[in-house]
Amino acid sequence: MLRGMSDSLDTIRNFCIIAHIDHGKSTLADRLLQQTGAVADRNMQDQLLDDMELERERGITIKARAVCIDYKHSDGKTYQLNLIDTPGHVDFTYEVTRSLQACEGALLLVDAAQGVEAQTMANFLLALDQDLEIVPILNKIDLPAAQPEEVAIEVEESLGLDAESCIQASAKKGIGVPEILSAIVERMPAPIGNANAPLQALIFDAVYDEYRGIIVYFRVINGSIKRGDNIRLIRSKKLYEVTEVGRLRPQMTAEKNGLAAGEVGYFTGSIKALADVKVGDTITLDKDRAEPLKGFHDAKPMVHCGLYPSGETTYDQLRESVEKLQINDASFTWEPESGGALGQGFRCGFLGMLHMEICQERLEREFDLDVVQTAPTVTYQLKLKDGSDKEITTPAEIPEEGYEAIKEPMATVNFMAPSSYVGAIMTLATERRGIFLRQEYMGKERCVLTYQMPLAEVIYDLFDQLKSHTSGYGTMDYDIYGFEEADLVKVDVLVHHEPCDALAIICHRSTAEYRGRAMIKALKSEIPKHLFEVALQAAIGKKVIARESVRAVRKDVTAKCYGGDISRKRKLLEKQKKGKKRMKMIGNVEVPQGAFMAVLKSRSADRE
Amino acid sequence: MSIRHCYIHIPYCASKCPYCDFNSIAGRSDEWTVYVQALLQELRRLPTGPYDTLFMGGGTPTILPPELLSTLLSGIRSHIDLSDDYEWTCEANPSSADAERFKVLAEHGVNRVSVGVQSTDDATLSFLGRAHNAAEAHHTLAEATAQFERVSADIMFGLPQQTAEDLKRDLNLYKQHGITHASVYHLTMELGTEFHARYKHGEQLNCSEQQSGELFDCLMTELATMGFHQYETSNFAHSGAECRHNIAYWTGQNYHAVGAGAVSTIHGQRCTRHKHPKQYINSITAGQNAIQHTETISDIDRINETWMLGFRLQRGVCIQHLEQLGITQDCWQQQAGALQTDGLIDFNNTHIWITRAGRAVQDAITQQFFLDTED
Ligand SMILES: Nc1nc2c(ncn2[C@@H]2O[C@H](COP(=O)(O)OP(=O)(O)OP(=O)(O)O)[C@@H](O)[C@H]2O)c(=O)[nH]1
Ligand code: SF4
Ligand SMILES: [Mg+2]
Repeated sequence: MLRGMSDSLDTIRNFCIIAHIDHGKSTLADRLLQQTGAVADRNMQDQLLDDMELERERGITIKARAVCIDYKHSDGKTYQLNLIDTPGHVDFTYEVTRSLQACEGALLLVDAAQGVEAQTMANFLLALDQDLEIVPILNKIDLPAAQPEEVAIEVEESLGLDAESCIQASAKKGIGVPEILSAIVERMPAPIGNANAPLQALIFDAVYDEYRGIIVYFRVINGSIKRGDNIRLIRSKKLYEVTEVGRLRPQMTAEKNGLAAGEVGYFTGSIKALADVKVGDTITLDKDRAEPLKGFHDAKPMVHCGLYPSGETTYDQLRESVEKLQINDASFTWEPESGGALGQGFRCGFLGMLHMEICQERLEREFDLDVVQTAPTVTYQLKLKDGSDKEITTPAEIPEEGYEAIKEPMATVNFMAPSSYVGAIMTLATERRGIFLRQEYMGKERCVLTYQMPLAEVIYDLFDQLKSHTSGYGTMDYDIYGFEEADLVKVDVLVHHEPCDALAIICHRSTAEYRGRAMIKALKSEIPKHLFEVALQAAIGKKVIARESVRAVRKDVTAKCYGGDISRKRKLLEKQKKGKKRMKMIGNVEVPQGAFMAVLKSRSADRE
Repeated sequence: MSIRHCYIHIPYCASKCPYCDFNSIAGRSDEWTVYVQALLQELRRLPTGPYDTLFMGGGTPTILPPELLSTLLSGIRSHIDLSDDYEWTCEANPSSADAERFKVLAEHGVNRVSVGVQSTDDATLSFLGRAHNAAEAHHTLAEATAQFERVSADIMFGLPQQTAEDLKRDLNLYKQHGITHASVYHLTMELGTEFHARYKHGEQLNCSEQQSGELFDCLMTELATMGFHQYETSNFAHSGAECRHNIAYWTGQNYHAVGAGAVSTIHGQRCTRHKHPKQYINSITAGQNAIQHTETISDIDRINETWMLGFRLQRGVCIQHLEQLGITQDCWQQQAGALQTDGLIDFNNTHIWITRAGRAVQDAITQQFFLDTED
């Protein structure tokens, strides 16, 4: 058994498991943990590393997770394997990129029944960028529909990896696991580094813990780190004393000799200041400083929305929680924003719609908050009348006097699906302002269609629509390639003549009218009757494009109220008043929180 | 100041109406005598008065046989003093009240009766599960008006498919019988009633909000042309014929109460007696007070009740009364201003009230004046 610092880097392997969503990464991690004895059989459960409540509920990995296991190889030596299980969904790609930088190798899983998919390709390219040794694995060979030979050829043709090098496996049944373990040791390189040089360690993740402060996950490149060391976080210029260093097995296990070059682990130092820890920062010793390592490219959020406290939640609680969330999710960004009817809140940025949904749910669950979310928008570039440029992330930032031109982010979208769905995908893409680029075949049956499309069209509901148009067989990925000018307009929503920023959207002129109509209709069904008729309008500038009204209350009278009923009737009215108090005020109109969500959802419903 | 009002409850009825959430129970005639004894026993613990108003409600007080009714009334009289200008009301139902009982009531000093007519249409009466028909209702009203100067009749509206014409036909009874007081209630699906359960299962038992608003307008107009003024949301009277006992509730007076389920409110303590007559009888005869629940009315409760009850009255909420509770004009100026502009309320130096236009939506208005409560 290896304990404490490894005397030699030769017996260390750092690798991650990458794949398209659902191809079996977390299940393979389970088998690796189990067959090396890192987790006893009785403690085993499916997708053990997906321990976040949301991960278990949705059956997907959201956070990358590092684990250290000891593996006794056939050469008689015991190896320290640091594996990182990564998420497959495109919205969590930033988790993958950061993980790759802590590794020398990658297990690339391909579902032997599904073949190479959009994220297989995307993640493969990311691993290649980092010069990682890639070991392809054909998973789920136990499935009757598995075609490992065909998929191996597909891997060779589309990824350029030797078909012979693919390992056939079933993560579920445990088939092929010994071969995978051998390949990790034999095909992946050991880390290179100098344990005696000044400490250089790369922070690739962190999490806030109520009791221990921030827990920092890192990979040591050079030097070593142990309890009691005074370390410096180079970029944030902060000093801390290390109170614990250890490995994840998978639970945090202190290592009293510390960790050295090539190893992966965590440290704590009673770090309470949330702003001090940044992923991509370098840890060094205060007394013996080293140069900073190349960090990570910042994630560039492309979808934005407002998050506002509601119900019992206060602004300060929300602020603290978004800070804590950001520690654990470096791709999530936020800044304070004032939202009119919604009060003070935050403008938040996400990598995609699923990411947005997950962040909102994590805030509500992990921090027990109540939040209202406004409609998502992409980043737009404006050319202003005075000739200057401006980037905006919310329709409210459009200047009163308008602009010369507006550009929206554009993406290259690859759709992959069995050839019989080509027609359905083309219709879908064209409806969403897609411009056809090319069509290619992968093997005999599967087809890749490439389109240029506005990102705004991609993020709203394209993925869901693709799934429903292709009976679930279609997959897609996208890459933002730049900004292009378009005929976009801001659609305002006026609630009883009061414009509501939180409900405004930017959309293409051709879709403005039905979007406006759908929003107003959704609002109408959410806003309760008032003492006056509530006018609802959607407008482009001064031009009203849709209108509806909520009729006034006609009758609301308690019929009887005598000596015996007074308390009950009073309490009834008090309760009704309380219900109204939880609503947001737009001018004189009480708008339930659900209305904001309903308006947001109206965008995908109105397409049908 | 001594307490000038007392409510007396008789919890028995011929049968239970499906919409009714009063504390009433069908039959149990073998219990009536003991109940009357227990009730008188509780009554004798009250101060002797003098009282300005007594109200005997139910249930159906007139279900009691004339002799027992007589025992009850003389028992009350032997303990209670009445002021010179007292009002003593007794509720009566066409299914049980008759000339003989009315005579007993009058002889013992009852000077006002309130008859539960509900409708003058046989089909509607049977939909409402009432134990009488239209002819019986007219007969009872004739007997009541023969005996008493002050008679009130209850009418119910807001029934499924009810038209303004239907309602006008019902309202006509006031003219027909020369009745000077009208209580007109909207049918409400009250929790725990048979109607509520059926309504939950999708049965159409009430009319649309639109229709209900129109009927309410109709009855306000119609009764006004008949010389009634709407002195309270559901109560209309010729000048001087208002029910002073109920006005005492709406103006926040203290009141005593006796009988099963009866509620008294005295100096901020609101006490509810055991609802079930059996439990009530047992408790009282064992020398206890039969009080099942006591609620302390907090300052906020009192303020909210002042708004809620005051707004039910045509004259509105007394501004001086509000000030005594610490609610100055700046506390409500803002809401009042906006609602006044919309014509829903109005105010002067002494009162703030709901206008005719605001009457149909008074609950929504009232809430705007409520203070926030805890939890
Ligand atoms: N039949 C079969 N099913 C498998 C195999 N490996 C994984 N699965 C199933 O595939 C589904 C997805 O497995 P996961 O391990 O969660 O997939 P993942 O790649 O980690 O998914 P993400 O992390 O969300 O990208 C689960 O229902 C697994 O039980 C396999 O070898 N055979
Ligand atoms: S008669 Fe009156 S108290 Fe008795 S059940 Fe009917 S409505 Fe209720
Ligand atoms: Mg997973």
